[in-house]
Amino acid sequence: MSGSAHEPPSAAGEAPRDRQYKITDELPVIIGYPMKAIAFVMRQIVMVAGFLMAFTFGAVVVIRYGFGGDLFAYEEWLLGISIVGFFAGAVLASARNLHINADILGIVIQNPRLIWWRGFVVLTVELLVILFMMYACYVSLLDDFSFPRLRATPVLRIPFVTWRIGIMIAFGFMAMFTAAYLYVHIRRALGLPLKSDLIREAAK
Amino acid sequence: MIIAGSLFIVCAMLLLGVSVFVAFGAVLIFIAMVGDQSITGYLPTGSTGIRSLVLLAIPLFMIAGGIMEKGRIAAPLVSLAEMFIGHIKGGLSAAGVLACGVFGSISGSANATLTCIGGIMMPHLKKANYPGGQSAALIVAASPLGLLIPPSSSHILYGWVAQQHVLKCFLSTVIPAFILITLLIVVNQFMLRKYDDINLTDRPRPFLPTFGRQARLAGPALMMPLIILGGIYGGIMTPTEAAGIAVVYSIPIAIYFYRGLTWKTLAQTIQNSGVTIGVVMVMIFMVLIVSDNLISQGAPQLAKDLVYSVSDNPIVILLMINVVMILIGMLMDDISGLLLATPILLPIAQSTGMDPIHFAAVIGVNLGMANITPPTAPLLYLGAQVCDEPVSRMLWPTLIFIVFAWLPTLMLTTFVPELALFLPDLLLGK
Repeated sequence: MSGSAHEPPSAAGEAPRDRQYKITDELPVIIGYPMKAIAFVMRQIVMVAGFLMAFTFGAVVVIRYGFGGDLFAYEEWLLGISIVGFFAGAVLASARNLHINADILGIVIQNPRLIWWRGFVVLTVELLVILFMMYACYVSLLDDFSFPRLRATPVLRIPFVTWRIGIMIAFGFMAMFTAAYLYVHIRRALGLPLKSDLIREAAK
Repeated sequence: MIIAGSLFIVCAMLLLGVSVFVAFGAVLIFIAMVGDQSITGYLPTGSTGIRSLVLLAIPLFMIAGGIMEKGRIAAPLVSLAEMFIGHIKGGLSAAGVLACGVFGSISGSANATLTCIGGIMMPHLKKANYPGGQSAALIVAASPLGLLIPPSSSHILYGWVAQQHVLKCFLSTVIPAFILITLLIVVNQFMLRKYDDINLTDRPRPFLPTFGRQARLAGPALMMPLIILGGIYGGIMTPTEAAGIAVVYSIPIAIYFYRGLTWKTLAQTIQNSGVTIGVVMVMIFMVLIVSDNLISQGAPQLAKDLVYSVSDNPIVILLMINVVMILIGMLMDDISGLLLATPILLPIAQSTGMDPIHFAAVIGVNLGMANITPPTAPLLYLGAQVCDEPVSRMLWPTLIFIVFAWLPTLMLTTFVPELALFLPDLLLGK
């Protein structure tokens, strides 16, 4: 399987991406900038959630053995923040094309035309499935809001929908980045210039 | 119909090359179309599933592993292992295997172990004229030790899915891990017999001043498993709290002692770990929903009936379970494989009289082996990059390590339950 965080894989069937070019650089400015902003916000969420998880559990141990106390109902807010952090990480993985896949056909297929078609099918399937997941989340949230009282955590009364909305938004962002890869994939097939190619040629 | 269709779709999608979480998402579309369950249940099932304190240990260990990977924490461990056995023929590669074991016990991650130890060991091995392909294959074959030596993310997940004592699951693969280390070293030693030009002269020899210096350097890194495992088994901390402490402990030693990180690069490291965590957690989210749907369709009973229609001999059944798990592991990553295989295969294993903790060891060894088994073999491809060796030169030695080290370990673990159960029973009672 390719696609661990150690190995940025290509969009299905393409040569590995040049690291200095992000997918958002290849998009029209009006779409690229908001998506860059989304990626920036996701990075901050991931960082804050990561630090918060570690230091909270450190604090739990210190407070328990150092002060004989307890960090009151910390799991209720921490788990919510963690879930949002997980999905922000998943959005970044979509932005960097880092989701794990078993690249068996990639080893077998050598014909460039077939490679392109396979990449196209993979990206299209990914886009459709992620959009379906977003829709499933939306339907589920409608169901949640149909109750007179929102279901919530027992102590701090944090509504479950808080992180569930986060999950739905994350699927939306993942779909946007997947669509961006599909856009670049199609442009490449049509022979339209990509910004990274132009910059590379200019550098030569 | 739904179960067969789901299995077909997930296999077809994975072979096509779509992301693992999307392959499971495609199964959910299929279930929504042909099944009688509403899609409104998908989000609550997934989000309630991942909203678990036990599960939170996995991302925390991943962050700790990421910090150790970038924080140059592995180098003194390798030097220390080299000091003892680096001067004998095959010793340097054996030191690599031992370093994988020690680093695995710190990071709990096969990827982090391979990246760190492979990156450090390979230049040394090449300089000493060790065969490149074989040495890289050895490091790759040893890197899943990170999944077998506690703390291990896959055991946390197994304990959570199968409702078993996580600490017992941790201990179940300790003896198999030592068997694997021994077999890997012996097989490698045997394969090295035809190489006469291995340079041994400039290997460090063990003497007291060097040992003192190396031990001082490696001390803070070696304290990590002591703190984590001592805390967990001493009843001071839960695995999740220990994972949090591992992160809090690794930050200052990576920044101020080993000086491999700065506060700025630490933020970058946490971001990168966050991406890996996102990849894993979204897979867990999807697999949980699929697994829940397949269970409600009666997949465990169907699988059991299918297995028993072939044979009711426990030995044959256990062999079949192993084959299925190897196939699952060859198609998907260890986390998804574990989440999918556990609810379906555990009842079958239990029906043969197998203890769930014993099954934890079997599944742990199986999925560790699957990580290096072609055609997918994520660690093999990562190893080729890290060790700068073509996959073609690593393939044959990797297969030898699988056949003569991993498979015997798997068979011993499967058919000698005491190997998995001795330590959990001894330390935590039956």
